[in-house]
Amino acid sequence: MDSKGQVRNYILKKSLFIIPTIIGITFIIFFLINISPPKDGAIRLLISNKISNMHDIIWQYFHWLKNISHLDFGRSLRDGRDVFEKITERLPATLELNVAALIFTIIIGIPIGILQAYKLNSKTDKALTFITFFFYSIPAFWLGLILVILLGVILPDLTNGFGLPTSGRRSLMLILNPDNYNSFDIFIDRLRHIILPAFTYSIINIATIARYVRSNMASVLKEDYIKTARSKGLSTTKVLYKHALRNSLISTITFIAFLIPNIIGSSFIIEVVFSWPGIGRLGYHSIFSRDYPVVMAIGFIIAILTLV
Amino acid sequence: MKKTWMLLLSGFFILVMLTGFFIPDKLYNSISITDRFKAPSERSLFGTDPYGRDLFYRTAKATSNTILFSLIAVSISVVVGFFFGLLSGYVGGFFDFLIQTIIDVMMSFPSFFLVLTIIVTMPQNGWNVVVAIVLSSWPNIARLIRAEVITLKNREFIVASKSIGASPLRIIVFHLIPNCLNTLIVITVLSFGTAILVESSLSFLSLGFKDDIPTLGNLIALGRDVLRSWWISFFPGVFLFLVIFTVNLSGEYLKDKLDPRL
Repeated sequence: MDSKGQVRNYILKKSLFIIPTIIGITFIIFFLINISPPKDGAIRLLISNKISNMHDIIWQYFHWLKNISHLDFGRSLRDGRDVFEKITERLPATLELNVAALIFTIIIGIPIGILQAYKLNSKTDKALTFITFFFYSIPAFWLGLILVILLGVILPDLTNGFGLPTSGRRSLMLILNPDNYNSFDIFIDRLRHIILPAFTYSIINIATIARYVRSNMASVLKEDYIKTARSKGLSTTKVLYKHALRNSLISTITFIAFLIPNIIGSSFIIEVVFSWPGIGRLGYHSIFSRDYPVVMAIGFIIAILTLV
Repeated sequence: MKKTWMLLLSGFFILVMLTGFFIPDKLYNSISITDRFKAPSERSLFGTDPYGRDLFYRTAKATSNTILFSLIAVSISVVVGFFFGLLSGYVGGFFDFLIQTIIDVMMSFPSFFLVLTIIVTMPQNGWNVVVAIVLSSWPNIARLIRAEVITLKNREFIVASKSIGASPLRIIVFHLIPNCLNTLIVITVLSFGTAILVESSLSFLSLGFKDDIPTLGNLIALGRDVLRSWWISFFPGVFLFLVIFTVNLSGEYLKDKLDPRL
């Protein structure tokens, strides 16, 4: 068989394997949520009217499957709005935070890794390894809280009101009278709001990426073509960025792609700490108000995102 | 240097965990209206929380609790993961396929969301956190053990002992398990760090252990609404960080020593 056919076979096999996985995911989400004890009287009534025995639950499961296949997740129990609509209006905030965090991770993590690989086993390398390891062990929610206290409470006290906003995505002033501000003000406002959550969010992944880039670059730097490039008389920066970085970037990108589901999953707690109006916070509040359709829909969407 | 630090820190936290059992209830749970929001002083080293409870003893007790609960969770998930990983790697065939599909499904959930879903569906008494940690971490352990078993299974010494007529049980107990042990120790320590983080995150979100059983997560959460009293979240957080740091450091050390491939 030629290599093209092999690749095609591999992709086919993988995508066939997705089907039982999706069924498993929907199964777990549906049954976990439906056997859970509803505390609220009204909800219990609502559910016990609909589900009287096991047969009905299975019937409902297929009904739910049919509905979600055309993106109908039902209505929220809390405010009666369409669940899919509720999620899509929160989606941009979550994506914005994730993208910002990813950018932070890349622009801080990769240079650290390169520096470490270039000065392998030197004092700088060891110090940076220790620092990234140190940050890797910091619980993100605590770091977020401490940053909020430092930059949101103590710094404004000392500098007479200069600090960073610690919650939300936009300032209240800009929502109330948007006409008084131009687009640049809005942009700056958004930027000021996103710095803290994105930074907190990326801190763990910076360590992971730096470590990966370090080992990867170190092995690339040992290759023969690097020696050739150097013996041609190229400058260090040119060798590092043109030859070494480009070659190690391919596997780094794959590595980042593997990190992304992880990043999406952990956005929950950051969104809660910084009151970021994204999917994570919606899910968190839905769990507390036992808004099952929303919880189920978010679980499904996040699981599918991870799978793809 | 790494080794001395690791030993010192782990010794310290084992000590804290053990002394935590002997801290009397009165020291860490007595409420006092007049002592609310007291900054750190010589009377109470870490200050007091919104209910006037002494944070020094509370942090000690909470550190002990956090380590204990995570340890219980990790032990269970290691046993479960090891069992299924071993069987699915050794038996193979349809059983292997079944376990692999289950693991794939479990792992395609973002672990935190899986944990939350489990949390909602269980009675909120704190032990749901332990169940959630077990359910979310055993697939990873099982997967790594399975990979290890599959490479071991085709090694010559296993094939040789099979050919002289050793029973499967004998092969598993005397050949496979001792050879998996290094990997197992490393995975255990690494997932211990994750378990501590998950436990404290959930307690922080008030989804886990409630206030009467102090854990580091719910101590930090108390300071969330009173940001000016920085010590309420600061000191428990430092301890949480140190615990995770110690576990990660030990994990790294053991990984280098026992199983550099992982």
